[in-house]
Amino acid sequence: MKTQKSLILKFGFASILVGLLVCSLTFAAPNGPPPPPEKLPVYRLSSTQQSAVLSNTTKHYLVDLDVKTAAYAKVLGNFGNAINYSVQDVDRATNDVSAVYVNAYTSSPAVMKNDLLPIKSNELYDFKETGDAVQAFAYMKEYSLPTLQLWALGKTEGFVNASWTTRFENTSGKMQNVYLTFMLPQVKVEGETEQDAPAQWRSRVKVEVMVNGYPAWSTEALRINDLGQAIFNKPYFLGSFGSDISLSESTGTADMQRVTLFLGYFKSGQNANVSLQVSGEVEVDKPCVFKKEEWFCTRANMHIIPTGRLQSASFLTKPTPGTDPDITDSNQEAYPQVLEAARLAN
Amino acid sequence: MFAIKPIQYALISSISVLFLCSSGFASNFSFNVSERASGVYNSINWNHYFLLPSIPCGTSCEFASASTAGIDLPTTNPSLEPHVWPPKPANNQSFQPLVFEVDPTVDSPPTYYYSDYYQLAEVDRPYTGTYVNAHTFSSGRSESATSAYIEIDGSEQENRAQFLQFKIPSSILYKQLAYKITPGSNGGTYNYYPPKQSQARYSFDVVVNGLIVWTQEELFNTWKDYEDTYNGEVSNTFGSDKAAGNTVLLFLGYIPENEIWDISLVLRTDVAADAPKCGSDPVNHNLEYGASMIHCYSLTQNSAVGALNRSNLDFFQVFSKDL
Repeated sequence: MKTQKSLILKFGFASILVGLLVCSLTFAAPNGPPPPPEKLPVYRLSSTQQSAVLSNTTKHYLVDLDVKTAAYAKVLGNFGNAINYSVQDVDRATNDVSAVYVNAYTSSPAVMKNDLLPIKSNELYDFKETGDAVQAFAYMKEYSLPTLQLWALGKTEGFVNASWTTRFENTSGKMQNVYLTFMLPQVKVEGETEQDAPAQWRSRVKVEVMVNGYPAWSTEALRINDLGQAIFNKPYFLGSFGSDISLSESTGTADMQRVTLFLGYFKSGQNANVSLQVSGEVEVDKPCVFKKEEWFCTRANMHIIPTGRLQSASFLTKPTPGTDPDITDSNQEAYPQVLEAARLAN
Repeated sequence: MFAIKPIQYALISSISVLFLCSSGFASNFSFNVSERASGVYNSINWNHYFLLPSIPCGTSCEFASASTAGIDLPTTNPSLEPHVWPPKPANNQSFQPLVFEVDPTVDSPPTYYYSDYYQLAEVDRPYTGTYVNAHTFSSGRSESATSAYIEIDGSEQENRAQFLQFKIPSSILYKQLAYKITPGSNGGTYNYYPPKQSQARYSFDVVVNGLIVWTQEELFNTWKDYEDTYNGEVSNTFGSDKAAGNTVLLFLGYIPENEIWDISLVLRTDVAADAPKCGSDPVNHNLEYGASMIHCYSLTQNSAVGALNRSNLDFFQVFSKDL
């Protein structure tokens, strides 16, 4: 009996030690000194710089690279007797389109949508028919054609998100200046306050270029209504963060525009995971009101929609001035000057 | 009565320790985001989860990080882009410890200012956590951001269930109005000067394979040129309403052997103000004779997140389980 107790204790302690060892190995902090940081600036080119770069570089079209696309949409609300109803969908693809559409409503709309193409104007719900209702569409084509649409009536919410991701590698054998150029479609954040069913609405959009997980370039805008509280001294408020995309204060709209970013210098063989993220969110805080045989609803809506033909996004490269004796270039992207600027800025 | 055999005792002990180990950093909230993260919905039995040991990512994971801090005056460059990015992720790369930028925005003493008379942006990563801060005084603009980036190679993961655990950062906004004091028998009359425009942002995003799976954001704005002291301010919050300091556990789904997943956690703060008008305070008796205290508008947005636990000094952890 004594032997068995002793054995139990030995086994017990041994197993605890083994367990703790596994535990410590599982959550051990990484060791080793950090490698020297490599800091490079990312900035958007002016229209003059952009023209020069577009005509003086080698193009690597996104459509020729391996591209992952993703799209996500979610809507929430109380529809009829459904409390806190929500529905979401997600789509992912490689070198192909990702697209999702989700919706919800209190009363059946006259027009239903049965495809995964952008919502046409005659497919947007008419608040007089639907009462509380919401539509959400997210789409990303592999050569960077983002489309987002949110249309929220009454006490509803919607969220959409789409992206493309690729890995770009400098295979030239030389150090190169690398740029990313893409078309940012028309951006709109707005809403409509219904006098017979006043409610607070808000509409938000966010666009980011991620380089190895870091938001190297981003822009964000929020638009909300005043709701008669005389807070803004205007019917609505527009706030914007990050890079300026010339979003109009009065219309909540920014025209389709080309964005060209200098991503820095890639050594030969160096690569980076680059992604374009677009997302939008809308919300109305009070339900529609039914009177005189029809609904009255306050609305929040947003979109990112191309308003013209879009070219593929592309990476642009040219040998880095100063690293090749055959190249002389005194422009501002010369290697030593920018490194110095980065050193001073950090 | 039944007797426990040695081998059973050992098994129970091991399971107990592994249970403690697996839930060593207990989560306050757990979410199944597999559909959004991987494109495929997978159910999860959380009771089963807690019985199994966590498997470290090991050589399947590569880590990278970038941090930036930038300041600018609105008159020189309204679109501040101080961003930097890291090279290709290195295995177990540690995080950059500190980026820091500071500059006075108004005259320095002998005039006395009520608060710190500079704009400042900083990201600091001491061993105990991560700190991101942005501050303006009078007119100015500052931005700070930091990111953690992880790539998981599925070829060594044997289709295991993947998890991301992190702590929710704090968000603290400080604002100080500009004002002047006119001396009088009643102790002085206060006149406040609201900013022409100001804004602050805190955001924390978790992105997995190109889609946002968890987000938290706070936006503060004052309406442009609205001449009122107390109105004209608006605050909006988006995403999760979970409080700072809580630990969140996300189930990401099962990684196929032929895929590489990427995860990024981005924490950022930024502030901007157009508030050139300051006021004087001649009744402050702590100053030299003839001097005045100057009160300008100031705005500070900071965020901090502590280490996940003693054995993991980062605020996040990636691991898998054999579910």
